[in-house]
Amino acid sequence: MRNGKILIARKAFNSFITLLMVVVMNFFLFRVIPGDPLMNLRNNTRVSDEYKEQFIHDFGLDQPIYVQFLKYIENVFTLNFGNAISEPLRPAMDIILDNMVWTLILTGTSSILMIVIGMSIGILAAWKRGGAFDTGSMAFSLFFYAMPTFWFAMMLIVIFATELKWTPSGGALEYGTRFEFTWISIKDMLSHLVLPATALTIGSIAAFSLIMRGSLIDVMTEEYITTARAKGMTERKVLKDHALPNAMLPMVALIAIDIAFVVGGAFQAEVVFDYPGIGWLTVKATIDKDFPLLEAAFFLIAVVVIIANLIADVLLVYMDPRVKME
Amino acid sequence: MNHLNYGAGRRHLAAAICALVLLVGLFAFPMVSKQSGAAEEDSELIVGVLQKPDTLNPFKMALSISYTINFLVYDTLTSVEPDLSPGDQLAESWTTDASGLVWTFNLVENAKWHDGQDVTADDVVFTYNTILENPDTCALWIDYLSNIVHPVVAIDDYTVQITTDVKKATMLTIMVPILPEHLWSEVDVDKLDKIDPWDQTAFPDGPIGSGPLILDEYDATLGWIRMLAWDEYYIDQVVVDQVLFKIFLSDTTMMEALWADDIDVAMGVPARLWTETLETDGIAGQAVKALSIFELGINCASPELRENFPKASDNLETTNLSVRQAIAMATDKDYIVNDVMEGLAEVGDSIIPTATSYWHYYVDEETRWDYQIAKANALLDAAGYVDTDGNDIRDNGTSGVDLEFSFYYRSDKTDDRSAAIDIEDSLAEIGIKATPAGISEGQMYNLWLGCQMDLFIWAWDTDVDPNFMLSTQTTDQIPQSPQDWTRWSDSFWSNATYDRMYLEQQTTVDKEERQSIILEMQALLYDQCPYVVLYYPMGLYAYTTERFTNYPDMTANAGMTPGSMWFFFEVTPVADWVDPMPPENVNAGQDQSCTVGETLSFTGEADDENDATETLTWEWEFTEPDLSSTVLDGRTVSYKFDQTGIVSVMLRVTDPGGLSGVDDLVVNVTDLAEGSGWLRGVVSDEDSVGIVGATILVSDQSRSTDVDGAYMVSLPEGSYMVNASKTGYGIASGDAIIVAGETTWVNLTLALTSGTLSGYVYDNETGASIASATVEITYGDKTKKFTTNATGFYSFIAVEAGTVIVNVTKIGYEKNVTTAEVTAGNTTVCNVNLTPVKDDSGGISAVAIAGIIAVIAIVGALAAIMMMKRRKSAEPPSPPEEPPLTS
Amino acid sequence: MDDSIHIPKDSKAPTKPRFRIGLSEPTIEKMRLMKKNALKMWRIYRKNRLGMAGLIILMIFVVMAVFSPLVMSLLSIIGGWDQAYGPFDQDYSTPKESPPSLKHWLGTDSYYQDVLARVVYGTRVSLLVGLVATAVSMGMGAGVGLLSGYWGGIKDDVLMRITDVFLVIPWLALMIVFAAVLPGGASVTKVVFVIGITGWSSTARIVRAQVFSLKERSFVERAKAVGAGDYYIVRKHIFPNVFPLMFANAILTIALSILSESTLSYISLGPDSSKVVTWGNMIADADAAFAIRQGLYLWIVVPGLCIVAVVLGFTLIGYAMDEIFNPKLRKR
Repeated sequence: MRNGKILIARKAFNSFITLLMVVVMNFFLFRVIPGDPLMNLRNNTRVSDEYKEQFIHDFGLDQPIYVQFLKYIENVFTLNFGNAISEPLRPAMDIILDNMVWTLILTGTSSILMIVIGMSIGILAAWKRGGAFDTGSMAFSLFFYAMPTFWFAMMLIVIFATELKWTPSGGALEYGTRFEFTWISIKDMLSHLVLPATALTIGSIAAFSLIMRGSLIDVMTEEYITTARAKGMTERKVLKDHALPNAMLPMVALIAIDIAFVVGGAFQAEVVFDYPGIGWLTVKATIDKDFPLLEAAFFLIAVVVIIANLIADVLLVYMDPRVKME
Repeated sequence: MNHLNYGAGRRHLAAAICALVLLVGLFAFPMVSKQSGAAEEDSELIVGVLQKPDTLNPFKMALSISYTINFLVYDTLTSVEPDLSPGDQLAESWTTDASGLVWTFNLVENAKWHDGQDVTADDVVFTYNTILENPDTCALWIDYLSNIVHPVVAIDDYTVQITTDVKKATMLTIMVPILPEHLWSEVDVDKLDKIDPWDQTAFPDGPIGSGPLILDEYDATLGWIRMLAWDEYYIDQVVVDQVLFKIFLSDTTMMEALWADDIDVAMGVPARLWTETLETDGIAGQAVKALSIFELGINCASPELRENFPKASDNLETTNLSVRQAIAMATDKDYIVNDVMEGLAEVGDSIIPTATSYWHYYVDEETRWDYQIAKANALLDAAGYVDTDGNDIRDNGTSGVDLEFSFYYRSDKTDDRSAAIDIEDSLAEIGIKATPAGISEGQMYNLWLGCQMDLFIWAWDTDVDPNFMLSTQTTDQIPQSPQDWTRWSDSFWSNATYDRMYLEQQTTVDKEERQSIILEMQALLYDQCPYVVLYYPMGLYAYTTERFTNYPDMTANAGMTPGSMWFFFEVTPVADWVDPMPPENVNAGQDQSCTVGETLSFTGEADDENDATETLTWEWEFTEPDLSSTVLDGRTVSYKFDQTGIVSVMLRVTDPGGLSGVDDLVVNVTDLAEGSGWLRGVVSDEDSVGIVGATILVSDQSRSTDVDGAYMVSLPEGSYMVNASKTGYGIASGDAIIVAGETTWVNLTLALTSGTLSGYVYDNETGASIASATVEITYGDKTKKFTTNATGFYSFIAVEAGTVIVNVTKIGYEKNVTTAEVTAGNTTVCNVNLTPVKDDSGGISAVAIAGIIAVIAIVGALAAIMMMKRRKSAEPPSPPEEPPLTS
Repeated sequence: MDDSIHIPKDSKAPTKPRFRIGLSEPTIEKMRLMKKNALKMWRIYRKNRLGMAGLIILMIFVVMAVFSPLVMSLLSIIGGWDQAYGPFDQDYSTPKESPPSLKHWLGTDSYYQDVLARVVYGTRVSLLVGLVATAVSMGMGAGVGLLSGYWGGIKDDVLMRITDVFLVIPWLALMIVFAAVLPGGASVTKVVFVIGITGWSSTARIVRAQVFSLKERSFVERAKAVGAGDYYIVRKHIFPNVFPLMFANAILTIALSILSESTLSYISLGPDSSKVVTWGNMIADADAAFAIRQGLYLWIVVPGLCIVAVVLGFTLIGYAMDEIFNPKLRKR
């Protein structure tokens, strides 16, 4: 197990460097956004000239780039990205954390659904290879894997929310309420989660069931499976004790990488369903040219995804010491 | 071996299915609960908006949504009335001294802060002086208080005196929120524009204002702001208990929420959806004149000015007046308004919009640059622009520079793009080449400050007072270099007379005088064409009529939009809507006199704004001289007068809301006078059926016939001419000789000269009947109106025989004018078909959706079967290990 | 991996080359060999039903893309319209946003343009964006993968960290920002570049793994012993073996690039729909015009289904190609 520990340490170090690179990229990427953050003040006749000068000074737009960079690096370590441009009195990090909660709820439920349903479909399809369920689920998976999430979301919203009025048309909670741990509030949150989660999960279930099926079939052809069968174990025992655990290994690694994919999908679902997550915020921040917010958003997303990958790697090492990390 | 295997598979299948069922149940359950929402005790109006407030701190806010919210929470000295003119709010009245420099404002004495304290002059003085003393932190408001001498003084608790160093015309439109001195005075000065309105130490009870709504809670993440009605507001009370502003990222999600009944009011409906929205049942809307203009701007920067702009456009031809005037004449504003904006805008002319009609300059016919391609070509020829190099673009005769201009519009504004395409075509017709390019608003900023744009389509939000909008075209607002952030002029137009008039109007306190100067300025600007004002857009507001009613008439008063307090004083939940208007001008008829034993009939008249006359209840009370009284019901009643003396008759008309109006009259009943006899008779139509309510005129007496058409009147001896008439009938007359003490009978017959006209109004596309369409008929000098009921039925009685013009209108349908022949005595049927404006049937039918799902299902099934069939014949190939997930 | 591509010993004597246009002997030999190999692969591929289905779907769309004007004129003959509509022709005789009618089978959009014509011509740019963006990400991915895999050590770590950066941040977030940051209006080149530079990290990862396994192979050792330079080894030995797997991965990346283009267009960061027509910006226009609300379903559903069909086609082909180059699978 000793080399396992070294492997994890090295992996953690690598992740830290990646995070540093993200931070540097953030700074240069967003300071280059053309146009000016005062854009949406242009049409507002009440804004006076002094206000605009004050605005430029607050965001240090008048200082040379390297001064801004040094100030920026120092701020990042204290998790202080300054106040957002579109909400001058709120620190960017607070805004992001508030919104991040909702994205985690959405991606969390979708990931659970994806893993539970995706795997069971995959296992069943692999188990009854060539059968009706297998081809049916394959057709389903291929079809929905190819569907753009935002387009599918549009269809859902028109049919279920506006026409049939079964589910709310958008948002995360009944307008005007905050989340408490009461049954009504949970029920309300779930009812708002139905459509976005469906739109987000269908595509991932498709992909996941295909992978699960492929890796299970692949494992079934390994030598140790044939030897296990030779020893007279029942097919079910073979599946449970040998095939599944080994098939699970590549799945764990894929779940980690897949998180960035699911968050990408969440962006689209949030925009269509007006769901107050990071995606909703990033799209709005890009329109408003709100670079403190964008820097904070990218930093936080990078942290979350890196931690997820790290956990997956640790799981991988403990689950199967034989795995030689290259 | 096999059955076990089979068993395992089956059990696995069962596990997966029950997982699925559990999951669907988990989600389905909350869905069902959506319908059975808990009964709300206090009523809540949810308003959808498209902009998120930057901050609700009154010193730091910059976005218009933040102004809207805060001006519902805080009062201002003078108000913006429903017609956008200044009125009284905290200041009840105001006077200026002889010099016009010292203003004295008298405050209302019953204004209260939301925490119960009184609003006094100290609050006003504190607010104004804080701003004057700290121009940086209060940068937002310093402009409004320009030319005001510090300090502002409180004469007594309810009088404030303000002195200005120069006459200030905009004194009555100072939109500065008055803040509670007892709270904000504790906040130290440099934190004024940084403190959070919900800061617990400074504001223990949350943000305190004195306006009609209390700022209760704001969740920036979930995007809603809750406000509670302040029931001690001194002007009027907000009817609903709570107002919730819900913020949406895009108009798409807002409209879906409106159709899904998740919100009650939508502010900013997209134009292309307007007819669609109005046709949805349970939803209505109003297009309101907005404080905004859309203009085609032209770069008039002089060559010298362009020197300090390195990337400035080098085509100087736009500085030539006749080029600009030709461009104005080549802009087809009617097409843009009717086709691009689908009629939801007003053709523009001067730069102050018609919403503030008092200040708007209506360009008269002769000087208007109407769309005349020929005249524009003639003007350009006269100015010496001819196409010398044969590329059918005119060029400057001397320098040979082509009339080819850069032309920009904002790429995310689809209407701007369509307008740009049309302007490009019509400019080509007068030999000017301008290819439109879509750029982001951010880039337009840069190109403006780089003086690089020859032509551009942009917009302005104007103010209640024209001062700011006029200032944007003054010379000192022209940016002098690409870094000159703070100047507003994008046309770079400079005109000495215009600048002089601008300064003059700033110091003209007298309203009429200032108006004449401002109109003159707009006339000059219109003639010089730095801007070709395309149109004034309409604010589009849609709202539910199922849950709320009594929405104000915003088209008449542009100041009553959902952003203003006037709107919330009117809107009422349908449940507790009481028709406040009792029936009006109730009329029982004139005083009469009659002889004892006569029967007189009375017909009541009344009308009610909200309820049709049929739904009103009529009660007549006859009080005899011996104070015995009888009550009769019905609009037309007849009563026999047996006692002589004064009988008082009172008519009470009550509407379904329980409110009633009364009118009364007196009948003087006398004995049969000496030497007079009775005249009696029956008025009937050709089939000898008695006509009720026919008017009998004899000498100076008038009677109306009772239910059986009988009448009775006493007259002194002599011979008389008796005339009978009724609307819809001809006239009949007869002679009568009255002999004292005897009764003379004169029966008359009236020929029917009118018929009835009725029919149904249908939609000629779907054949469905159209409810609440307005049917108006005109014959002779009379016009009558009828609104079709739910089945689309209408009917008019007593219509003079002859041709009648029938004019049927309904929003969303084209007008339909036809004629009908009415013949006396019978019913003419005239059904009318209306063609919808957009000939497709709005809304989605469930059948269509089922169609799509069916198609998808068939495709899926076919693919599965195809694979299944092939499986039997060959060993099935299996797909490879893994498709890479991330791109 | 290497038993499938080596020179068969029993090949017949080389036929006399019919033409000599200055090609050296070995190049002709190699070309003949490649032709033979391609034929062999085609025979395997033809047996794979999924692959064929994918190929057929793709053929339809390629024909639509290449011969769009022809397709439209054919349709105009069948439909009896007065002229074959182009994607930007504005037919003012029918009202804008009109439902499907005889003159316009799929109705018209907000600018009086024929929806059917835009779907047909939309194939061009949608496929183009997919192909070129994939080429960009393949190029970068292969480059980084080959170099970092072959060099190893510090250079490998640095390159891998850069790859991680692009893997870590969700693809859509990166695209949004790059699309907003890069200068130049909403043009096709910008969209292609944005999708390209956010898609290369997974290819780099796969190529690097492949290079590691190839590095230890005997023929690379022998080449090094003979004194071949690094670049020669990578070009002659490693790249030909990595290429087939990259090719299979490329097919799937095309599918995802087309999906990305439609997503970018939806949040109005894609190409400007007045200059360039793609399925993505058609859906965006339809959504902005509330097509579904106005009952114009085909305007928004048909382009969506086209995207699904093309992506499905590419995915199926990708699987089939994977199977050919991954012998372990073929064994079963």
